Amino acid sequence: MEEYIHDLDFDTIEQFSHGAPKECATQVANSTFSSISPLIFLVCGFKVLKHLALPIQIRIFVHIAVTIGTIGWFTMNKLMTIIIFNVFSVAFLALAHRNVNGYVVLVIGIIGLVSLQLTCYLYDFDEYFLSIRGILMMNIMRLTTVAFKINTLPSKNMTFSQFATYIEYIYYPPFIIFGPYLTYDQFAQMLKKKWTGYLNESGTLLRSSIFIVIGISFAIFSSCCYEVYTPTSQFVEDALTAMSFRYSHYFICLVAQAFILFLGSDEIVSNPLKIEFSRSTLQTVSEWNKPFHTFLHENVFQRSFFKSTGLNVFLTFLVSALLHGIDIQMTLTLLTLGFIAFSETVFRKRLADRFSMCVAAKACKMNAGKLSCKHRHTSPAGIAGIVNLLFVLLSMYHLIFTGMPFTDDYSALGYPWNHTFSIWKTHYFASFVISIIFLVLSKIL
Amino acid sequence: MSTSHAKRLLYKLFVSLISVRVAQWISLLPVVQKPDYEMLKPLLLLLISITLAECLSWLALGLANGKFDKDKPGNSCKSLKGLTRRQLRFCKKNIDLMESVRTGALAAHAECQFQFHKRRWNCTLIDPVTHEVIPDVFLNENTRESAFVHAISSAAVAYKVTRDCARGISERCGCDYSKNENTGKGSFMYQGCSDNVKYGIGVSKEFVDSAERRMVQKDENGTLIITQLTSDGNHMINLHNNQAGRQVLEKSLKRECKCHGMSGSCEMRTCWDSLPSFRNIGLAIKDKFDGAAEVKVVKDEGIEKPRIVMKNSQFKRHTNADLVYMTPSPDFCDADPLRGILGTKGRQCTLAPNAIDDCSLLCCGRGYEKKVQIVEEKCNCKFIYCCEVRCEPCSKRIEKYYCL
Repeated sequence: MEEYIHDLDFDTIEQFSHGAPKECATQVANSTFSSISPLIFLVCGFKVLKHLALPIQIRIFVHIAVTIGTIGWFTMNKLMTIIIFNVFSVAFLALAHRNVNGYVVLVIGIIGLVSLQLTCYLYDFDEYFLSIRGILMMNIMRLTTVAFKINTLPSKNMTFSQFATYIEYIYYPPFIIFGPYLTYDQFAQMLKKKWTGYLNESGTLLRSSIFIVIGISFAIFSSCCYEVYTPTSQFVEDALTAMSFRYSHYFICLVAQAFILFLGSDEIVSNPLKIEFSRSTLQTVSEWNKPFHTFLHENVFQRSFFKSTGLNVFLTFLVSALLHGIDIQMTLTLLTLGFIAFSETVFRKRLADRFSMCVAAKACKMNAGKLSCKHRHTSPAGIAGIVNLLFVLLSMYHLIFTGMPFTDDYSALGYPWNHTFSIWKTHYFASFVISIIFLVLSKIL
Repeated sequence: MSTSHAKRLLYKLFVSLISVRVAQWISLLPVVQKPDYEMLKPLLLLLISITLAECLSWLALGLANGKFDKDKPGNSCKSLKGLTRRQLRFCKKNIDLMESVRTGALAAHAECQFQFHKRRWNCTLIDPVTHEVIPDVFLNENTRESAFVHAISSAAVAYKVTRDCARGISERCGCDYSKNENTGKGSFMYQGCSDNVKYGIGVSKEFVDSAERRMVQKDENGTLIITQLTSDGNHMINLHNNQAGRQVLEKSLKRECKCHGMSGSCEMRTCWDSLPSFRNIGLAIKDKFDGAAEVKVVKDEGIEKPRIVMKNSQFKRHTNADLVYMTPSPDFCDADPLRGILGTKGRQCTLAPNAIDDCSLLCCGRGYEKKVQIVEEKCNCKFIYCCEVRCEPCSKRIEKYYCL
């Protein structure tokens, strides 16, 4: 220590201020756990309620009351959020009850969301809108699902009990804040699932707990990655920003996964491994949030509004973007992802056909131990494996490119319109360039 | 000059003064000569310095060896140099915090030396041989430098205690959950563990401020009153600067947040307040040093508590976080051991024209000497397969400049 004073090695002075990663990790773990613990409590409560088998007429009032309480607990401007949520729910349930088409409900929902956003913008309340956007987005998706469901019912006269099941679906407290969105059938199946015995249920509880622990670990990595590792280059910093955004998403998805698992559903919300080591960008977008993907795929893409696949892809990603309100960065990112996925899929299909290799965006399916496609190069250890590996690396880069504009500085307030371009410019719009090359090559080959 | 040496001189002065008085009383004046007060002036100055030097003498703690024995706080504390009686009491009561205080003292000294290492006064505070704080008399004249040292040392103690609390070193402090209340916009989901700055500041107030001679006492009703005001209000200025250092620390607390939610929404935020590195605190206090305000202490009639007012009333009044001083700093060019000024003779300087340690500036126009050093280095290294690295010896010429 004396040497330190006398030699005055100023670099060592900084040794007195280390310890930030540990502090950050404990603080974030503490913070996330205390934030989600009321939700965990809710999930446990509703697990008990589910097995109590109360009549639906009583159940829905419990659901509505607890939903209002949950929104009040978790959001800022509590009363306002409760009113907004209920206005959306009641108005759209009324429309659905009148058998209004699901698309009309979806469009009115998006208009309502955008109007709310503009009102918040006018009153300098952007932060508030961002804090409730996710809740409303999932609510609109559920309400649209209800409208579509009622559209398909043969009988136009519904009993109260029948309609109450839809109310229950809209007002299900454990899923209000972080989701997930489940289709009506998935939700109904979850509620119907019977008690499987103490041993099985304990196993489910253990699995759910593991998901929560992994989720919190992702939240810690997401928040503290800069504390652990100081980026040495711009590229590493961009990769860390994108990673931080992805890991935050995994945290939400894994917590939601734990909730639905414990409540009796086997649906997958998101599998981080399938995103991090994704075969193609097509896989990335479909694995990012599976229930969300299912909603868009079933209700927009598969309805084939246009003859051109490209236009259908564009419309699907546009609807996805609009469900986030008017968010230039989100719109640009989603449309870019759509473009990347589309061009890569086209190119890889051409590559697979031209060179007879199993390298398409979707892997060749296995039917009774045999591959469904008739490609010559199928071995993962051969040329097809190498090409697929290169595409895995490319998908990793696309994840960085599309995730790096989500910096922390504007995350709570909204990103300025030129933010995305200014960040992509530093990478010379590489993902766009690659995708355009793929489109050109698919025509040439 | 060490404190013990100074105390011996003080003792001589005291004895000589007493003997003069006694001689007067017993009418032996013709026999005993009047002491030469001009000659005693440095000693009188020293008399003031010894009591005042105590304000900062605790900084020597940074060099204290060994660990603090929690089972024997009395012995551990008595072995420490430079503590006042009140600080000693603090030490015995709070032995678990003393390690934080010690690292605080070390960090304060190191940061002060870093911030001033290119200046004429290079913040030499601790005697490397005796491990005691050099009684820098000018530091007790309420100069800008004194203001800086007080501010950085009180901030350093608060900083180290805060950091150690967050790491769970002390059982008596931990996270600060007081910020978790929903205080409106922006803090809606904040439930994190924050650096407990309030506790750190409290400890710093208790320990660092108690180094000042007691000025504030409680009256019969228990209210605080100022019982003593030194002629130049030194202590009041020191206490202000201590507080300013802690305020800089409090203001530098930054909140970091991360949004979590569906697809980039922000339903939940994980936030935590954390302190920046101590270098940033040092830089902020250095900025305050550059913009320090010259003040005076006035005592209004009928009001017990004196006030700190701007010397030049035309300037904007200082805030609680601004450093204040009363005496303009000396130029620090020539050594003046009695005032604790070492001078710039022998200091290394550079020839860069606009640098702070430029030779013409640092050497006060006395000139400088060039010393050439030939250093042996390895160069032209080659890797020879396998596996050896062969280098050639090279001599490198290094020129260094020292003030005359």
